[in-house]
Amino acid sequence: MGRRQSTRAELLPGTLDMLILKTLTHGVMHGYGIADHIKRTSGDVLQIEEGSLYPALQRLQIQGLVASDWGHSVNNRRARYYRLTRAGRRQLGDVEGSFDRLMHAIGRVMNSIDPSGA
Amino acid sequence: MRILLRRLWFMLRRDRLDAQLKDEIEWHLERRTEELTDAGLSRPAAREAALRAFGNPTRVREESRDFWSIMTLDLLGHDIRFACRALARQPALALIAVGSLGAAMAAAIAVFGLANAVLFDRLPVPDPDRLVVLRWVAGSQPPFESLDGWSSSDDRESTSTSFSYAGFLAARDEVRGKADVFGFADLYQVHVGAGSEPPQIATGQVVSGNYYSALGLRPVVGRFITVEDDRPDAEPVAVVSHAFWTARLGARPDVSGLVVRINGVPTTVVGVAPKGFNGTRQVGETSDVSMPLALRDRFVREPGDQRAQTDPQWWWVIMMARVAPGLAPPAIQPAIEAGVKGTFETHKNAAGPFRVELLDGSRGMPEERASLVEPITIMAAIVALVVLIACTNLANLLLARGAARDREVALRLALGASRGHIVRQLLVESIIIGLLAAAAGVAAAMWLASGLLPALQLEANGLELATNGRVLAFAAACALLCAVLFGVAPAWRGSGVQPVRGLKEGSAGNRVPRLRLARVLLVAQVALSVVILVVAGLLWRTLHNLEQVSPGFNARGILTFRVDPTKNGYEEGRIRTLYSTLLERLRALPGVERASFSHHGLLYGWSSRSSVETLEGRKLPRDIDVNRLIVEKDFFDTVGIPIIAGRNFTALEQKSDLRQVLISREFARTGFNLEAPIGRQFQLGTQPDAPRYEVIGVVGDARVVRLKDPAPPTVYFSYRQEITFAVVFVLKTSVAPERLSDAVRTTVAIIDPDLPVARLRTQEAQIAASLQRERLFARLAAALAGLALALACIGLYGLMAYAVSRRTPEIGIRMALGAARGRVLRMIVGDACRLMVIGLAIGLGAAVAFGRYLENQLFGLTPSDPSTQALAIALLAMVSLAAAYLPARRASRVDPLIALKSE
Repeated sequence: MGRRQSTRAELLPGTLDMLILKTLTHGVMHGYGIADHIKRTSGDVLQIEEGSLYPALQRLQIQGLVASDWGHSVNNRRARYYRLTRAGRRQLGDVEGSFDRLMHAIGRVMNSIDPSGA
Repeated sequence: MRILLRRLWFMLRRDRLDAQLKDEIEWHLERRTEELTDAGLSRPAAREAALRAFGNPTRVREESRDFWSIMTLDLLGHDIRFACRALARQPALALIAVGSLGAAMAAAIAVFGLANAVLFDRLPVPDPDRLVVLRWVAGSQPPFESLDGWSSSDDRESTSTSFSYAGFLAARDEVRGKADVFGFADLYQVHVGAGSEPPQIATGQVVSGNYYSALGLRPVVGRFITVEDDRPDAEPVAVVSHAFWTARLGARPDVSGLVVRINGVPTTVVGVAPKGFNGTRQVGETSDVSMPLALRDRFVREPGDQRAQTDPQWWWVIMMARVAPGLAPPAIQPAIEAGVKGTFETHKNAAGPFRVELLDGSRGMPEERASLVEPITIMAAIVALVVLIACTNLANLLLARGAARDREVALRLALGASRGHIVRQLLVESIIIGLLAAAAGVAAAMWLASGLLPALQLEANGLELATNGRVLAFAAACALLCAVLFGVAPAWRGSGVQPVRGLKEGSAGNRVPRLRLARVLLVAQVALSVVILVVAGLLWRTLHNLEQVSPGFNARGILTFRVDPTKNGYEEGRIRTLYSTLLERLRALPGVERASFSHHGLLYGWSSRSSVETLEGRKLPRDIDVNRLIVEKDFFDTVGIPIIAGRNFTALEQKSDLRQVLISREFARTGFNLEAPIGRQFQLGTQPDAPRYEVIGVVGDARVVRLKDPAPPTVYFSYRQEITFAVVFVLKTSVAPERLSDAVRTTVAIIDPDLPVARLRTQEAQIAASLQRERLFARLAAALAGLALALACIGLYGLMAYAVSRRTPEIGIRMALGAARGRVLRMIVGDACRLMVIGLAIGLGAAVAFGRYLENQLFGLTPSDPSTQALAIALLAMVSLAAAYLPARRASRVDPLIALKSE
């Protein structure tokens, strides 16, 4: 099943999906909104190619983690809105947990003091 | 599995999804561009920046597309490739699987194809759902004298779809505006001659002027019959069917205006009906030529049958109606009923109950179809059983193989395959087997179905069996259903394999208990096989019994044929001259010993019936329903019906008030209690002026109508005293009768080249033809029973062989401990016997239950015929013992040393 991940090297593999899922916990959003939100909340640190969101959204839909509906945007143009499914919420819980443990572990390694160092 | 389905869903819609994505991306870019423009950038620069932030839109779309299509296909493709490889590794298994299921499915698809054509196909006209057929239901004394068409009656009710012409006109006028009532009637066989060619036999009908417009049809050539043509004083016109136009008239485009002779009447062909439209008559019936209803009496040439049109006592018009849009069919019922009732107010039975019912008309006339429901249902039930057996058998084979594949499955699980994937993989294998079998089945089915068609004994052959969408859909559904039926058990089992145990146990693991499911399936298979064997046995013995029935006459060495000179315009005097001349010439033919004729052929299935109400001037307490046969005096000698009392006709009978008849022994028994019937008199019907009949002789009983029915009480009339029109000649020959066929044709042609000879065949061929349905039923059931037997054999052998291979170490130990070879043999065979006995017992019960539905199709035995059951059981027991014996013998030859070493 594993195919080329479409995120840039700046992002850890698999994290884009997690970011999208997390972003959608704030409510129903269109692709543009998701991109904006990630950029804004990360303080412009996370450099995502905006286009890479769309294949990721397709993948999440096939996996049943995200669902979409067509609606009208503020200026009354047709736009696709994405929302988190129940399965998506569960999945997010799982990855958040393991991500926390991972970050914690990395943090400990990075902050450790060389025991042999005098 | 859900993901797989969703993938499939995405894949099917991928063009739309792509368009949507394109819109979405464009919207995203536009919005970003606007934002940057608001921030002060020029529009081109803003667009440039938006694109830079977005990346390459085309690549984004391509990557998304991957998810919809290629990966899904890859995945499925992988599964399919894998399944094919797995099947190819065991070609014998694949062959047995596809072959056995394919054979069963071929039978199922063939029967469905038949059912589709006979029971489901609707008329090829626009909006057939608005068509209704009208039928009347009256008490046991309906208000008419004569009826032409289908009818049925019992002690309480009689019903038919035939109405009088006056009734039709009244009904049509009563509901004008609410429904278009159209009428038609069968003319059966007509003689059609074009140009200088001799007339040929075709089928004909008469239709009302609004027939084609009410059906909503358009002519292929020319025009249809109109209301203008449908008047008693109109010039005769005809519409020909597409099939008749192409086969008999060479599909000539200038057919409009062609004058043909139909039953001797010069008739102008005005148009051609659309291809595939065979009329609205009974299923399978076609009409080659259609003429106006009002001209019926001009085309019907039988003496005495030319008053149908005007006589309200004569019911012969079939009515259908197209209900106006927006009206429910019941809304037109009261008006039609009132209209029809108004036309028989003066009849003596007019006060009796009478109502008109509306039936669904979207498939044409219903009676013949209704009569075919039972045979088709029985066929369907038999093939369903066989399909079930094939599925059970296959499930067993796959289970056994699945057990052998535990190692492979365990390995794949250990390597990270999900259980879902394993189940999917195994199901894909099943579906592939199912689809391959369905493909083989479809190919064989149409060939099979055309062989089944005669089983329905339709006189006409307008039924077309086509591999249409519905049949293919059925085949596909059948394949998937079967795949699920036989695939789920092995797949479910496969997913339960524990990787660690599976890998450790290897091939010599001692896991016999795993076979419980397989044993249950085997019992089911044996039980189903018993049912089929018993059914096949019953049908086969029915055929045998029928073939052994003595018809009461001698069918050997007899040639018969039918002529109908009235349809060439002969009137009574000419008919009598023709028959005398024909008899004289036929008797002179070398090889002909005797010649005679009767008005119905022997065992044609046709009969004329009358009720005897008055005997010796006294009214009978109960009418006696008698079969009438008009014969020439040499008839009894020619066909070998013995005269057991009194005398035969002479050549001197005259038409008079007192006419001479011979009666069958059965009538002598029911009518006269066998007490000296000679010289006694009776009358037919209730008319006071009806001729009286004097019994001059008694003849032996003969099954003259149907072999299945006991010889009916029959009255034989002399053709010299009764009106005769079409007759069937019988020739007793001293040589093989079929060798005289050409001589007969020549003889008839010399006397009248325009007179077609119909049904020229030996009497034995006629009898064989009358048993066609029974023969085909028996053959179909026997073939399927053979298949079931073979499958039971394969199933039992497979299971036993597998059990033996699993138990080899155990057997080795037993033998090392001193068990005799015979004991081992008994152990394995005994195991098989236990399964078999359970299966046989269940099957026997099921066979008795199933047999009840077969009762109408049986002859000379009951559904629970003990000898048939015994035979079925013996056959199955023998075959399955043989199947169990081979592996058992192998087990008994196990070398304890080798067996123990292999552990």
